Amino acid sequence: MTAAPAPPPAAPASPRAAAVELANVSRWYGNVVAVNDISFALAGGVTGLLGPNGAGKSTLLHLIAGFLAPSSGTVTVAGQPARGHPDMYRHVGLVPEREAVYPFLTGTMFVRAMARLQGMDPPQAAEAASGAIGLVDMAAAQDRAIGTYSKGMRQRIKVAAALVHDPPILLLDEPFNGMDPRQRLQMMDLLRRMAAEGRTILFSSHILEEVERLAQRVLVIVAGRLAASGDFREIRRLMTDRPHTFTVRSSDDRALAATLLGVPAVAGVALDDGLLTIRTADFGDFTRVVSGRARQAGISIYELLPSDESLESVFSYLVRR
Amino acid sequence: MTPRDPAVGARESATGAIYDLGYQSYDGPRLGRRAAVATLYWSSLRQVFGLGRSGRAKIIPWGLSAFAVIPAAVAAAISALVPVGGASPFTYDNYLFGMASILALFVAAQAPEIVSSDQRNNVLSLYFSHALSRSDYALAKLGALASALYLLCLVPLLVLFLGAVLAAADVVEAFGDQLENVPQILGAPLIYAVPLAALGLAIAAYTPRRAYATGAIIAVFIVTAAIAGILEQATTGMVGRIGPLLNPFVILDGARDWLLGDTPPDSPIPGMRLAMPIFGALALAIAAIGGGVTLWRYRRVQA
Amino acid sequence: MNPVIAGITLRQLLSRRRTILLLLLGGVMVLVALIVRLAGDTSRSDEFTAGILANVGVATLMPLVALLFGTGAIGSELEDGTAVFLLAKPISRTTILLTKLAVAAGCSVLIACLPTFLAGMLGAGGLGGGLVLGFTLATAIGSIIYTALFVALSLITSRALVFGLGYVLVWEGLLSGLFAGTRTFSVRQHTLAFADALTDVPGSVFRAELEPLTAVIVGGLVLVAATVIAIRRLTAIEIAGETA
Repeated sequence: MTAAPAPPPAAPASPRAAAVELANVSRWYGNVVAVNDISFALAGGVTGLLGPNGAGKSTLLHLIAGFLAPSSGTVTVAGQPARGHPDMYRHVGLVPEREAVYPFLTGTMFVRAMARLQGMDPPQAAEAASGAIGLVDMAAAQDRAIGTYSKGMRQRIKVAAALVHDPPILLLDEPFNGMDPRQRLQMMDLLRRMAAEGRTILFSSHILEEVERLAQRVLVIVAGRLAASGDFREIRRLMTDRPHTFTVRSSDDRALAATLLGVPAVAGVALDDGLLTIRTADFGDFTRVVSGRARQAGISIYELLPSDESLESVFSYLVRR
Repeated sequence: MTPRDPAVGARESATGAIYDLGYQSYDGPRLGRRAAVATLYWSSLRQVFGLGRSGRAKIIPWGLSAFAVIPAAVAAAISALVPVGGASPFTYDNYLFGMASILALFVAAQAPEIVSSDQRNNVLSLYFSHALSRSDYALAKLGALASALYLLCLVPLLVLFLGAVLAAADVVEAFGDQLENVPQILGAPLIYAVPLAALGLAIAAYTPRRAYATGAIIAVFIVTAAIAGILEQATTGMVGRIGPLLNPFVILDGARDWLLGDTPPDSPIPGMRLAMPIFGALALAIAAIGGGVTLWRYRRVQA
Repeated sequence: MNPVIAGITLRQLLSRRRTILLLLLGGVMVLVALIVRLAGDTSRSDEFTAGILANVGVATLMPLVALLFGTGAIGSELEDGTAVFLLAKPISRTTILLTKLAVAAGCSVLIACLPTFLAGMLGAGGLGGGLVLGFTLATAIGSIIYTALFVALSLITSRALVFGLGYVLVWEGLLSGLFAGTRTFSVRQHTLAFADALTDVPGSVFRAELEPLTAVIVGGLVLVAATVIAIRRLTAIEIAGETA
C-alpha cells in the first residue's frame, strides 16, 4: 500500500492540524434532534464513536462525510467545510454501513474503479487496487463477482476501496458488521497500523468490546449529545460521584475489611465467597490510604484491582444518566 | 391472551426472584390449514381496499371504486328525476366493458399491493413455515383479488338495477321485469373478475418492486389495447377479425355476451364473426394460464 | 463525462431481465407492423405504419423505455445505497449527473429507435418516403427529453416510477385527449410534432397536433430545465444513515 505511487496532487492534510473538526454541530429533522450541539476535534489515531442504536452515530458520520448539512454549527474536514467541496474526498476514505455494493463487478474491478474515480490513471489504479486488496486479505476472491461474496467479504472489499487512494482520514460506519472474530482481529490490526502511520481514523460501533479493543479515544454519543470523550479509563476516573469498585486479595480479607470500614473514603465492603470487594466514593483518597492501613494491621495485600473500569461500566453509567 | 401472573414460573431464592416476563406460551386450540387460508384471504382482501391502513392506501382503490359507481348512480338519479327521458346510455350489457380502464388501473395498482411487499420484505418464509402451503398462499391471494374485482363490478350493476326498479312508477312490476337481469348482474362480474385477477397476479408475483409490477401490468393492458385497435382498423381478412382478441377485455365481454347477456350496440364483437364459445374458452384460458403461472411462481420462488 | 461512471451505469441499466423485456416490447411492435403489412390494405400502408409508430412507438414504447432507464440511472443507486461510492469522490456532481444522463439517454434512444426503425421499414415496405427516418429521428429526440425528465423526477421523489407512469398515462394520455392546452406540455406531442416536421408525408397519412416550433421551444425548455434541476438536486442531495 505504501509502495503505491501517490495519486495526483492534493497535499494531504498534515496530521498535526485537526483533520476533522466539529464546532457546535446540530442536526434536526423537524422536531426531532438527531445531533445536539456536538463539538470535538480529531487529529490522528483511532477514535471510536460509541452509542446505542438511534443515538446519532450514523448521522454524525454522514455529517462529517459531507452527506448531510448541519442545521447549525460547522463541520470542517481537512481544512475545508465538509459539504460542497467534492475535492475534500481526496483526503477521505469512507466505508458506508449499507451492505450494497455493485454485485456485477468483481472485487478487483470495483476497487480499481474506485481508484480511478479518485483520479488515478489505469496503471496506477491497478497497482493501488491490488495493494489495497492485499491489505484486507481479499486476494483470493478478488476475481469473483461481489454478488457472490459473504457479508464479511463485502465489508473487507469496501475497506479496500476506501484505502486505495491512501487517504489521511478514514471514516468507517459499523465496519465490523458481519465479520467473524478472525477477520475482526485482522481488520483491527490493519486499522491500528494505519493510525500508527499518522492517519485519523473514526469508526462507529455499538459493540463495546470492539471499541474497547481498538480505540485510543472514545466519543460516547447518547441521544444525540456527546456524553463523554477521551480515553475511557480517564472518563472513569472523572466520574467521581460514582463509587469505584476494587477487588482485593490479601493475607487476611476479613480483618482488612474490618479495618477499611473505618476509612471515611470507603463506601462499602463485601466479602463474597472469599472475594473481598471494596467500594469507594473517593478514588484518590482510598488509594493513598489503603496500603498504610493494611500495613498497620499487619496484613499483606497480594492483589488490588479496579473491577469496573471496563468501558461497559462507563458506558452503562453514561447511558443511564 | 390473559396476562400471566408474574409469580408463576418465577425463580425464587431467599434473597431475590427472577420473573419470567418474556416468552408466553399458548395452550389454546390451534386452528388448521383452512383457517390459515381464510385468514390470509380476508386480510388480503382488506389490504386491496386499504382497510386497516393509512388514508393514503385507501385513495386509489376507493377512488377508482367511486369512478366505477358514479356514472351508474348518476344515470339512475337522472332517470328517477326525469322519468320521461330516452333510454339510459348505461346498460348491463355495456357497463363493464366501458369500465375497462378503471378495471385495468385497479388491477395494476392493487395486485402489486398484496403480493409485492411480502416478497420485498422476505416474509414468504414466515408464511410457508406455517400450515399454509405455497399453493394455498397463491390461491388465497388470487381469491382475494378476484373477490375485490367482483365487488368492483357488482356494485355499479346493482346500482343500475336499483335505479331501474326504484325509478319506475310501479316498483313491484319493475322488480319483476328486472329479475331476468339478475343472472347477468351476478355472473358478469365473475367473468370479468377471475381472469383479470389471474392475469394481474401472474405479472405482479414476479417482482418485489411494486412500481415495476404496476408498470408492467399497465404496459400489458395498454399495448394489447393499442395493437388490437390497430389490427382492427388496419387489416382485413382473418387478421382483422381476430385482431381485437388481443384485448383481454374484448375476450371477457365476448364471454359475457355468450353466456349471460346481449351484445351492446358499439361492440366490436359482431364484426369478428366468431363462434361465441370461443370467447368463453379464451376467457377460461386467461384465468387458467394466469392462475397456473401464479401458482408456478410461488412454488418456485425462493423463500 | 466520466468513463468509469459511464461503464458502471451502463452495466446497471442493461441488466439482462430489463433489456430482454424491453426488447420484447419492441419486438411486439415490429411483429404488429409485419402483420399489418401482410394482412392489411397495402395502398394505405403508409398511413397504418404511421399509426403504429405513433400509437405503439411514440405513445407506449418510447415513454416506458425512457421511464425505466431514466429512473434507474440514479434512482436505483440511491435506493440501493451504492450512490455513496460515486458521491464520495473528488468529482463534480455535474459531471456525475451528465454522465449518467448521457448513458441513460443513449440506452433509451437505442432501445426505442431500433424497433421503431424496423417496424417502420416493415410496415411501409421501405423507407416510406421519409416516414421511417423522420419517426426514428423524432423518437430519438423524444427519448432524450423523456429520459432527462425522468432522471430529474428520480431525484425529486423516491416514487419516481409511479409519478412518471402517472404523467404518461394521465397527463399525456387522458388529459391531452380532453384538454388541448395540456398538449403543449406533453413530450409525446412534442415528439409527434418533430415527426411531422421531419417527415414529408401528406396530412392524410399523419398529422401532429402541435406546431413544430412550439414543440422545439417547449421541448427544449423541458430538456434544459430537467437537466438543470437534476444537477442542482444531486449537488444538494442529503443521504442519511440507515440507523442513527
